[in-house]
Amino acid sequence: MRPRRGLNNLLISWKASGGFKQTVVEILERGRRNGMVVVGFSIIATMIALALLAPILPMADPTPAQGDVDEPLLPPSTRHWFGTDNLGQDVFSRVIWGTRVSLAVASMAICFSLIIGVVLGLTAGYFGGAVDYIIAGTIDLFWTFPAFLLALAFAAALGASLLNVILAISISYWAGFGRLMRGQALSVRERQFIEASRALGAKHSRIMFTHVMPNCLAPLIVWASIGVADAITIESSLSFLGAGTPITTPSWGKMLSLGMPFITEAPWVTTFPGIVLLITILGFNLLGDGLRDVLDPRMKGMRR
Amino acid sequence: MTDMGSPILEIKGLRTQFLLQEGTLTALDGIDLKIFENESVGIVGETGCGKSMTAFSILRLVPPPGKITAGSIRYKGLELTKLTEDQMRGIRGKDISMIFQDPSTSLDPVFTIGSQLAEVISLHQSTYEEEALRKKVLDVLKLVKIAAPENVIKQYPHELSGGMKQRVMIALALSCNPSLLIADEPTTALDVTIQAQILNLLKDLVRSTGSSMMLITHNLGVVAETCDRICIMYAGRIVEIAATMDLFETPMHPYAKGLLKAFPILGEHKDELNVIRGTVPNLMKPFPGCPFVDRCDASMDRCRTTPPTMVEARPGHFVSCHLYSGGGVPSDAG
Repeated sequence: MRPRRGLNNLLISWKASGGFKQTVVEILERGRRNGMVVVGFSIIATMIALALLAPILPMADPTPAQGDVDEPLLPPSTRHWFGTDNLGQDVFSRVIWGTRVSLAVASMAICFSLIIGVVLGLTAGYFGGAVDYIIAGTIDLFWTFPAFLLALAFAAALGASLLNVILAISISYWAGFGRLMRGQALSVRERQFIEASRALGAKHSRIMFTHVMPNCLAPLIVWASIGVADAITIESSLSFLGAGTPITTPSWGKMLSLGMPFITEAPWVTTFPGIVLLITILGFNLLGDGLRDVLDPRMKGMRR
Repeated sequence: MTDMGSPILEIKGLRTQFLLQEGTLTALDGIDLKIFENESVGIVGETGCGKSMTAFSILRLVPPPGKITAGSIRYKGLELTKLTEDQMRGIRGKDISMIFQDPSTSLDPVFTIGSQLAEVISLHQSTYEEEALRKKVLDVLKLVKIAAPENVIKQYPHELSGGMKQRVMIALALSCNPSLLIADEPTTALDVTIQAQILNLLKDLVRSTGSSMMLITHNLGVVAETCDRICIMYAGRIVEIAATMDLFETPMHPYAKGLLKAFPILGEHKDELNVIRGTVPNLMKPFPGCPFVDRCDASMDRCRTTPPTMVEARPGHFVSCHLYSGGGVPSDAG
């Protein structure tokens, strides 16, 4: 009798209010004026560009064949900008190639964790009762294990590959988002506009996804930006223990761990990937913090 | 004035109970109420007497563990208590709509006014065409006399004043031309000058759109201005129903008399205001007789043992009190 709508309907109602274009333009405009967003976005955009351009940049081969390697542990020079590691591989080119793994792992793992965490946390918090009991119990179960140990167990069981690392991190990391979302949903569902939309004839799924969820997102965005850093760290640690990406794939974490024994005689092997990791994490944190402000309609017109 | 053919809403013997661990709380016990077409009925009573619960029961939105345990609610001949949740959703907002007490929290803070209105309209009227939807949104905002609706649709709730927000809420509730509008203390959170504006607006809209209104309030002044009939509730029961002027001139139930006396008159000097002594009975304990007995100055022996029934003491004036249910003689004691 009534056609399926959902997100589409939300878009239409948004457009009809004349607010759609305006909202998008406004958010972009506010983002442009927000220093944190600009800096964070620039850093991440640069990283993404480097990751995409890695194959065509004029660099040394990150994983040269046995005969092609240079002398091990050469200090930075014009030939090897960041020096060479203990196997004689070019550190600069490995750092650039490592961007691919680190960014892919971090963004995919956080996306998956967010989706699982938001859906389950929202369901638990909104419906309460037995549903909440079961989901919150599951969340707590995952939460009791240190995320890293859990990821290690899954990565070890699934085998070393990029996709498996992403899965392992998602499985071990979603509980945090789930908990945060549940808490938010618990408080938002008690607010009067939720009751009002029920009285106006909206159904549960509509209320959950178009009214409860948008009101819960601010802390999740911030948590996700911190989570990106966490995910990169977990991936590094997994690689360090041999449960991460295949040994030949360059990744920042692996470079850090493999360079550790030589940190006194050849600090460049660990310093450069460390610095790039730091800058990337800073970029995500700035973007996350800034986005929270930009997306909040109450911050409209505020300058910072 | 009130006898206008068939009622649009007919509640019979409605009982809503909360099944708690400590026992059963009877929030509503045997509510009988008719609302006719194009009529405004005021529901008056003190906090906790079941005014809002009546509204939630009609919309079938009683919060768990509350439940409608007996009685029937007929809307245009349709038995609401037997509808499926899906069918009921189609009624809410479209046929029966509700306005809440606090406008500042009744609107979703993250969406613009326009998109919230458009959501309700597209949901109930299956309007998906952008321009048509936009026109309907503007129309309904004009209906509630909002200045510059083209600007307001782009604004967020926090950018509007309390009175504006309540107008938007009214627009939301009226956007689909409901036959019955339930207003749950619509002016309590507003300041006095805005209260009058909102009440007049409601009154005009109900007149002009031909819908009926159920106005819930604890303020007798509000109903006096707005409603055709008044229904006084006490401890989950209706104790008196009468036309507004009738009730103000000759209140019958001792509780109604007490309420009217407790209402201060402007210009009258008094050191102490009149109060009704005692407190509301515990709704967890079933009482065999009249719930008002402990606070009533005219109570008799049988008030403790037998519950009073609703009688038509005068034409169109119903009261549930032993003083009027035959045998007892109305006294001035209460």
